Amino acid sequence: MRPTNHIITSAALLFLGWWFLLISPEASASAPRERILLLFPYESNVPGFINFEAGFRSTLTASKDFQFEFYVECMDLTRFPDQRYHDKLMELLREKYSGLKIDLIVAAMRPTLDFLAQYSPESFRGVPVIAYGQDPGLLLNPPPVPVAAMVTGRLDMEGTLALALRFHPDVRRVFVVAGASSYDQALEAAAKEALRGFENQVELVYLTGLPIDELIQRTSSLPEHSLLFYIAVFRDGSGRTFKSPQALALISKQANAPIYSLSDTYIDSGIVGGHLISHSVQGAKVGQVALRILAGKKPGNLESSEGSENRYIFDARQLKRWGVREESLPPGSDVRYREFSLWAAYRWQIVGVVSVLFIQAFLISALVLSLRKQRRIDGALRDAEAKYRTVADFTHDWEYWLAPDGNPRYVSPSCERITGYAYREFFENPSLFREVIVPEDREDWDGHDLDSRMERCSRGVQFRIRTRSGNIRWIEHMCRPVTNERGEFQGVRASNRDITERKNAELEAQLHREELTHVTRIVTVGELATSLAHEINQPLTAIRCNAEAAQRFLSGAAPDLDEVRTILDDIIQDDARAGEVIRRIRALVKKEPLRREAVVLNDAVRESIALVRNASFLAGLSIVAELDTELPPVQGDRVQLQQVVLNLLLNGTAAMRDTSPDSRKLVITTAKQDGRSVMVSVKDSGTGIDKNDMDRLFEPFFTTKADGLGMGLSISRTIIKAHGGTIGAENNPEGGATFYFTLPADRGDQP
Amino acid sequence: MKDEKPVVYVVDDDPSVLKSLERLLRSASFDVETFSSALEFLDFHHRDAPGCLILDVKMPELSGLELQERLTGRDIAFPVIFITGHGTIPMSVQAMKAGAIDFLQKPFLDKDLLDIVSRAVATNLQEWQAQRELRKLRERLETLTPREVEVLRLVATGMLNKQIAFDLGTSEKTIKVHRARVMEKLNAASLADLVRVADKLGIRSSGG
Repeated sequence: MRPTNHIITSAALLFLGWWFLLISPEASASAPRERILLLFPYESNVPGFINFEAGFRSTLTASKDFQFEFYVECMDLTRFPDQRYHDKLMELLREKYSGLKIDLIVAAMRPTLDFLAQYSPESFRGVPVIAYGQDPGLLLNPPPVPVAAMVTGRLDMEGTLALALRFHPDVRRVFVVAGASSYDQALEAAAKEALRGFENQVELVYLTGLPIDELIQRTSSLPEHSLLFYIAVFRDGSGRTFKSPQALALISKQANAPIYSLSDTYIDSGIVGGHLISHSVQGAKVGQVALRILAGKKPGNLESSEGSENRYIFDARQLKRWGVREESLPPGSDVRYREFSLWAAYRWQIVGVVSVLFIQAFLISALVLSLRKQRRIDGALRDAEAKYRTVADFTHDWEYWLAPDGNPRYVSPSCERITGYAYREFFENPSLFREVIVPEDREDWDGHDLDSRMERCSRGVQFRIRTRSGNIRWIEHMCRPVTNERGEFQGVRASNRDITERKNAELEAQLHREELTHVTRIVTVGELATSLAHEINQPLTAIRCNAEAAQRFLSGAAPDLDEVRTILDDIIQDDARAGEVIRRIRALVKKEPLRREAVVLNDAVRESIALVRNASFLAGLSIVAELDTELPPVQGDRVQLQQVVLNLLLNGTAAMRDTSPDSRKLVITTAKQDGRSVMVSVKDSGTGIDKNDMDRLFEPFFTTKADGLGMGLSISRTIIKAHGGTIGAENNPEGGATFYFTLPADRGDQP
Repeated sequence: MKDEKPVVYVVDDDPSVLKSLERLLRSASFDVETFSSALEFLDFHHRDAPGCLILDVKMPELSGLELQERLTGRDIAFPVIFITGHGTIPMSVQAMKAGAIDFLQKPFLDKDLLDIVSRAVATNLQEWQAQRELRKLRERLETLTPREVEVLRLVATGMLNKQIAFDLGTSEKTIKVHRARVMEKLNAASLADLVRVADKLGIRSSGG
């Protein structure tokens, strides 16, 4: 569509252009052709004349009734006043225009009229002449040649000077400057006439016909309270010719007083201003008269004595230089070259443009600022992102965040170190979290996973994983629910720590602990050695004696077989008794892995008492057992628990070495405690525990016995702690000490 | 003079050991009395018969060694044989000092025990017999008048009748009568016999 439009538009424009080309010549061809000859007495490019000609021509060409041909002759009569030149010039003009029918002559200025009057060539006879002069006083009236109309402007000398004196009230002298040409002289004469009225007000000094250098020198060193009134300088006293504004410019550059003048051509050449004649206006005025003449109407003389076409024009720079305030200017004054002239002329436009610019600038800066702020925020965000990503990515542990749907939102790269799987693999396959867990531990994990999702509370769980390379690693998993500021569930934030080493160390420590426990047990058994020897000796002795007796009975004449049978029964019993002792010792000494089973503590206590009873070679020692018959079983390792009881019994026995035999008494008690735990206590009547030793009782290698290892109580505490119980000791009010331990009761809900 | 059959006393708190010992001793034809504690033994009324005592060292309440001390105090002079399951040297030294004749470690050979017991019983039998003789002599001595005891004492010093008569301020004839009565009462066949009896009874002149 667009190309089509474009073609249509182009075609239309072409057509319009062609139409105008056709129409214009036709229209102009229809209007009568008028030849206008402009005669000007000075050189060609005098500013006043240029303005005049422009005003004149534009007025004529604005009319559609005629077509015009303009002929302009700048005759340079005043610079070349020689009669022979004038003769030759007239001859030239006659020759030049002999073949042309001139329809109208505009004769500017008096020298032109004088020139025409002198020669009045035949060729121009009958051609209407419009005489033009700047001021009525500069044209002869009646004119030296017959004219169709006289048009004059007015040089408002009085008005201008009056104005100047109003601006400079303290001026005492007015220096009137004029050149040496005849026109300069004529103007000066007019000025003298016009300014006569000021003579009693100021001193008028005429600087007329001076060479330009002297003129410049004079005007640059004028006394105070002076004023320059520039008339015209077309030729100076030394015969040098000027365009008058040119001369003025030379003077004004160095003049030390304000300069006023008469024509708008001088503005911008250093004058302050004045009530100035405008040559373009005069040209237009002459143009209108010319049109009326050409149209055959009565032109009438157009003279301006009021200077109503003159305008108050001022140079703002000069006003400022000479301290003339703009407020004192006549209303309607045209102040040019104002520093803020643009402001004055286009205030609202400027305001508008500036406002628009300002708003634009404001918007742009706001945008820039906003952009910078955005950039800064972006930068800060990037920094924060980088910071927190660094914090997260450089963790040692395997950190991750699962969304409520179970998909990962974040997995730290450290997962690769622990699992061998890259974090991307967890994103691609979220079930990998579960798959790496070894099958035996998955049930635990599932339970935890469900809890953490449903209950939304933080938990920990330990499990093993199989890494990509097939190794087993222990993981300690901690997690917390994530909620946003509105309290909405955002998933689970979890941290997986590789605790393989710790776990191995724990296992090793447990192994060591078991080893130590075992060694301590053997030491305990060693302490019991005499007792155990006795325990075995008794049945052995009995067996031996019985057997010997039986032999003797049998070798008798009439053996009593019933007696022998009884003896054999006793032998079997004693053997069983010895066997039982050995079984007990082996049970204590045997190195077996830790077992968890239901242990009836009362049995363990009874057996321990049996082991210790004969070991207590303390005379008079009595061991009293007060056992709770309804004691619930506990979970644990029977041998280790018996070891503890044994330790406490031996400990109590040892404490009573210095007690008198009659009061050596050990009371061992078992009792239920608030249904949840059981307590075993061993009360002795020994020397009690030194207050200072109380804290260190259960520390390894602490002993008060000369031959003690200091491991018994320490190992006991380790065992009881491993069973989830507590162990302690206190002095009895009646003397001696009580050692006790508690264990959680087996509620029977565990296998 | 009729010999009493010796009795072996056994004290042990372990019933099966006690029973087996009793059987063993009985099989060797000893009369056996068993006690499960020292106190029980102390309460027992002993026959006047020779014997020996087998004591377990380690017993509750009263140990074998303590019992030994108490028996010394009571003048019950059985030879004591200790048996122990876990004897120590200080323990055995203490026991031997207190007069134990042996210290046996359990388990022991039956022969050892029986030998020791036999020896102990034999020793005790002699002692018991000597004791019994002395007791009889003392009973006889009780029948003497103070004058006869005096005469006996002086005779035991080897003094002649004449010297004794002089010392006592009486006649030689009277002394002869006393002397004959003493010899009769003390069942002495000769002067030498009389001197030996006086010796046994511990009657000695306080020196001429």
